[in-house]
Amino acid sequence: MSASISFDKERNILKIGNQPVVLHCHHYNMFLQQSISDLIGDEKARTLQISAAHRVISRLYESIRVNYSDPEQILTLGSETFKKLGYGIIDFSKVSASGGKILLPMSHYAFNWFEKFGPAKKGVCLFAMGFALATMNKAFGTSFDSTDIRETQCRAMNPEEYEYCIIEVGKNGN
Amino acid sequence: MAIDEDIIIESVQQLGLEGGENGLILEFGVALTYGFADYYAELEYEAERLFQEETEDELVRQAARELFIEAGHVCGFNTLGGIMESEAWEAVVMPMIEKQEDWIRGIIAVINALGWGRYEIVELIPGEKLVVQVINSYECRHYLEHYGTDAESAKCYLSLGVLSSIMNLIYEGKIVEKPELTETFYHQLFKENKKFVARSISCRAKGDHVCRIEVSKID
Repeated sequence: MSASISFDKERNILKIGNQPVVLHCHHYNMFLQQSISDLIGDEKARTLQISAAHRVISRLYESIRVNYSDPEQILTLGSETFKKLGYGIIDFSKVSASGGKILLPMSHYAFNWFEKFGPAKKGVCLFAMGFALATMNKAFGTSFDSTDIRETQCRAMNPEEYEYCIIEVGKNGN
Repeated sequence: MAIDEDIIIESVQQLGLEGGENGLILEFGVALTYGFADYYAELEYEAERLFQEETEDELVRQAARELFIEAGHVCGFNTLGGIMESEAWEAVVMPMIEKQEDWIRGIIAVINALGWGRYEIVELIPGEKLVVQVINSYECRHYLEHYGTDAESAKCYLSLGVLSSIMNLIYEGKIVEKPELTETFYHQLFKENKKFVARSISCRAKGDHVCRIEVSKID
């Protein structure tokens, strides 16, 4: 189950749901992410990228038809869409309405960051964090502001030691 | 046989680019993603806005903009360079190529399949100058929607970087000879021996009717 990608030939726009998407390579993605940190610092860059990802994915879910009363369907939709768009593999099987651990056996950002730049000092799966949070918010009816999210393990930091990336989600203050 | 954009666009669509078993799209020697247009644009313009809050020095602000244009160089060099060296290019575009400038027409046709908006060649003087009109670019579309039409400078960062990278790759990098697209080659082409630079002639973010970019040779 995933949303389909369509091409508007008149305007040369690709879309998934109502969201325009563009094909870009990992060199561009990594360079842009690093540039944002260089310009405004790691913390502001982190906040900006997670919240921007959350916004586009939330809008995506608003635009595609799915049985929103079933959290499992939304989590499956999220996993399949993440994979289809080329971001890797995201596993929501260990989450519930109160949070939990999200595993990424493959992450476009983590894998390619290490390939391009070498070991990262911090987790780099910022888009995946926003994506995951928007998916969980939609699945469980929670809000962005009430949830806390952290990447506790990122393969880009040490691929020999970390087989997976791990994103942990909990309620704010916990 | 002239470059047939419809055939090229259709061929890109028929590649069926989607994440495989491992969730990655490995094609043209790179890992591709379908990125969300508004995500990229928000990162660029919000980071620029936040950065500008820290400095009023116009030279420093311009240096920040140059970073985003360089991201376009990186994109053009790796993605478009990878495409021009690919088997798909060999099979679909090469049979249409009669002269060197057809490489430019061919890669512009590919760009028009990537979701970036519509790129139209307005003027092309082989080895000297390229003028392209960019219609409905995702950068300016987002900028207009969120910031209005009174930008102090052009906002087509990706287009600026990508279009100059095309001219540098084709006329200076001799992409026809399929050089290896390494970091070293990138630095030679864009840092040491850069021959073509892009400038914005008009930009919708500044209130103009259309985004138009000129790439010309440095004297």
